Amino acid sequence: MNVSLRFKVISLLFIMITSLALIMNEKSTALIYEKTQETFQQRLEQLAESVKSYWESEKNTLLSNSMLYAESEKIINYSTYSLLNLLQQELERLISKTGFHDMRLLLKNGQLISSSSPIIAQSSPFNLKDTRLHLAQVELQYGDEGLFLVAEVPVQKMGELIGRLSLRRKLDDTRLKKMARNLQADVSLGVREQIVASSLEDRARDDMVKEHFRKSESREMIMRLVLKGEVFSVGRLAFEKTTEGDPLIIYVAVSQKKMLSLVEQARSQNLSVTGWALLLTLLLTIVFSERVLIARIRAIRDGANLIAEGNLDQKFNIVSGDELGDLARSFNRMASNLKSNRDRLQHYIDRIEKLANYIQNILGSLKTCVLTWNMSGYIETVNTSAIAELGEYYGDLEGLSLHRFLKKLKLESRAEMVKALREITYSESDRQFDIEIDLGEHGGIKVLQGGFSVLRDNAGKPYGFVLTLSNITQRKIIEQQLYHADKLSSIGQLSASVAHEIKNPLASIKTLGQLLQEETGEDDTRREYIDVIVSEVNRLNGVVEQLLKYAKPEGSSFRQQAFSDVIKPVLALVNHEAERNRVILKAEFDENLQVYVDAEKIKQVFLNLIFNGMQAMGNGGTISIRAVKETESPWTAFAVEDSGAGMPEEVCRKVFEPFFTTKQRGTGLGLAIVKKIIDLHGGKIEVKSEAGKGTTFTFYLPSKQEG
Amino acid sequence: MQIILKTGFFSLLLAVIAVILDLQTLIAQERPEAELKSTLIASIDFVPEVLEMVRRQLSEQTGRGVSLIFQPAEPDSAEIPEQKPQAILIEKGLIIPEKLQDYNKSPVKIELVWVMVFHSSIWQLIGDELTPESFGKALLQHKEKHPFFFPWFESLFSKHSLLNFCQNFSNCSARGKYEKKPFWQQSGAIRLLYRAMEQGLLNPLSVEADQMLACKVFTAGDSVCFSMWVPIKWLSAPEQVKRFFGDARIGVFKVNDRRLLPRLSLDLWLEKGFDLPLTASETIALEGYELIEAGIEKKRDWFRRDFSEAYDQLIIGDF
Repeated sequence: MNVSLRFKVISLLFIMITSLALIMNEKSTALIYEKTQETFQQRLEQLAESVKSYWESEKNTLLSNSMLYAESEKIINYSTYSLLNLLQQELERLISKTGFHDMRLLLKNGQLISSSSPIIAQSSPFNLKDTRLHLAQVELQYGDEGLFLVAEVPVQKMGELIGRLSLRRKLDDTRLKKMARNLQADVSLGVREQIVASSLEDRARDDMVKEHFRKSESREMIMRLVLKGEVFSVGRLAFEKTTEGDPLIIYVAVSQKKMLSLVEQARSQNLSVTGWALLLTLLLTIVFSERVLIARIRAIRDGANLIAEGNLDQKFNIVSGDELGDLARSFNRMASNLKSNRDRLQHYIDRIEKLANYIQNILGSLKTCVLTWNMSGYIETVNTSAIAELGEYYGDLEGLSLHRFLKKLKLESRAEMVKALREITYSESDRQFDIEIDLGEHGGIKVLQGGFSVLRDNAGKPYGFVLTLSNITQRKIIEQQLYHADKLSSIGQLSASVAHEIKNPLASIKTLGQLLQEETGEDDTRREYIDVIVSEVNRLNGVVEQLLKYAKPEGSSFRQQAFSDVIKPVLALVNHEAERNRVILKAEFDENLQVYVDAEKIKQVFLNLIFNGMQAMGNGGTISIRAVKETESPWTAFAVEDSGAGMPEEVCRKVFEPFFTTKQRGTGLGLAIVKKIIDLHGGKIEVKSEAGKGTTFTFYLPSKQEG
Repeated sequence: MQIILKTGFFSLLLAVIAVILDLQTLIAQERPEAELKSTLIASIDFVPEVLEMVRRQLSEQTGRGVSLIFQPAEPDSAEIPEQKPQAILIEKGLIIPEKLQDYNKSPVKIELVWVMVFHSSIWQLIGDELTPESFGKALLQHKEKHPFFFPWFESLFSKHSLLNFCQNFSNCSARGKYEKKPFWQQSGAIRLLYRAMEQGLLNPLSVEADQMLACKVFTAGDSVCFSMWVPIKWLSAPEQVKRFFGDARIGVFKVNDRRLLPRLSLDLWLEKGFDLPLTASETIALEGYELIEAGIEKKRDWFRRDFSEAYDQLIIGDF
């Protein structure tokens, strides 16, 4: 979804300003809250001081009142003259006009008169030696009746102690409510983990007990408690102890309700003002963005689009000195630089393209396979030769890992290659190695010779390897053929010399043997021996003839002719022998098939192969002869297939070697001569045999001799 | 229909008017006659209880409601109030007749006598005859039971009280050596009272007390006996005493075989032209009692001369 820049700018500004405003709003609210809390703290501290003053004032009032009462003439007289009922009535009368709880007078004889009870109690008389009886004091009393502030003063008549008057102020809810009215804050008194009096309502008091006393860890001097669903700032103050030594804790609680309401009001007002400010800002932003920003950015965008489309002559006419002006000038410089750089770049591109084409042509024209590997072990580039040589075997070469490359090689080849790679890596010595690739049943073995070299960047740091492979299969074949030919040549020469040496004695032996035949009658017993000698000499002559034929082949006479003219005389020749051996001859070929051969030698090839097949089938069988011109190849294939017993593989490998035979009376030269004739035609022959199914000799001859 | 409604409305109106007229008649019949506005001028100090007794008696004898304002006065300086009341009840002889030209003396007279009021707890201890001795012994018995308690309280700051004691006990102060005998064996009222205070029987505050305080102390239970003026009728009507003081009795000391009874007479004077169907006061016969009434001259002398000396002796004990 495309969103316009204006919308983005406005949205961004609006979000930023909104966020800023909200943060400031929250900050200001938090500040107000914090300041208010500080104010509350100060207020609590002031209240604590007020409570202290109030407390002192209360004590002073109590003390001064008790002293006033102690100086009352009636009280003194009634006490002095044991008018205790009147005294009690007077105490009651006095108390009834005040807010004090009660007044008691303990006479020195131990009689206790209380304003709250007409019963006169009796206790121990004073020990008049105790000087403390003449002192005034104010103390806190806490008991079953509650908490009391008690002022106790001596009552004297004419300097003589007659008793001690105690005036008690009960610190109860009523009293604290009065105090709360004066202080404008709730006040509670706690002794021994109990709220003994409070100006708070019952539920708030319960909450205070729950919130405060049950959370002993939170007893700070100033705390925040929720009482009756209302938040209070509560100050805790301990500055007096009861007569039993229990500290009196005074809690001053100020409701934060009003403050929180004001803070909330302030927050609402802030939000409202912020909202209006945001609206105004939004409008101004829209106008500003349109007038000042967007229009100019749009102009720059249009210009940039033109530049992007290739119009590097585009110039911006924004002359302002602000950032957009700078941007426009930067665009102008950029366009100028781009144009300059584009020209230079084009120049370099042309050169690089030429160079790339040059290299590509070189690599493409190379018969050698060139593969580059990165340091991660993956092929990055391959040339045409590599694809031709290895593509069929590996498929897509680019991206092929070294591991997979090696995996397809023979074990020896793999070891050779790894060794070479290790050497180039560690010692940087390039080592040549051969690898063999098995191309399958028909493909044979492909032999490649290769080597590694290191690819380095400008800093000399290696970033990959180059593997060069050259197909040396043909060379290897030629080398083998040369070796074989050399071997055959040696054998032929040896055979020829041996044949020459043997032929003349054999002629003498044959001549003498024929003479003996003539001289010996039919019935002579020696005649049979002489016939054997002549026969064997003939056979030896045949062998010698074949040796001489192998060693000194006759001159070749190649010409284009119908294959039927070649094969039919052969079939006629062997037909009688085939019938004798119960062999069926099948010939399959195109009558129009033309071959370019030395006909006599090819006849010899077929004769040798057919006779070889007949000898392999002792109990008869079928010999098939086929000739086919391969459509997309320059070869014509010929096959002679028998249904004999077949040959083992080791026999197959040696079958074309001279003097190798498996027959008792064979010379071992028949198939060697066949091989030699095929080689003479520039063809190739191969044998396939399977035990129990027969043997097939297939040879390929060029369809037409080139040149 | 309208006729029925109009008739009903007028019947209701007439009934309401009749009811209002009947109520007015009833109210007129129930309204009492105008109250007699009177002033009591005397040299004694009246406690509220006695003043109330006087008012009631006056009301009985005049047959009207009485409002009574007490105006204390000295024998030398007693005057008629400027706003002349309809009736004035005056201590006998306190105001000279020339000052009462606008008033006529009526036959109504109220007499008060000076008696001692006892709480039954002490009365039981006194026995059959009230003598200083029986009284003293009873006080001692009481004191034994309540050692911090002063059983006897008197209004000795009152000039009339001291005068009455002096009259009751024949003489005021005796001369000669003061011996610390029991108070009832002392000769002279002042020594008797002083000794009683020394014995812790008479509350020493009595020397600073007036009738009001003495009565208050008794009613509060802080004393079991004190002396006061009571209507003479009370001598024969003990229920009146109980009415005001609860479980109390009144008694008169028999001293030297005589029962001297100080008396105070209040005469009623009516404004001239103001006629009332008055009932003349009866003369009450008291057997065994000798009523003594100090004349105005004697009172004047007592007030001016003798009281100070007697009071000083009571305080200082300089006998």
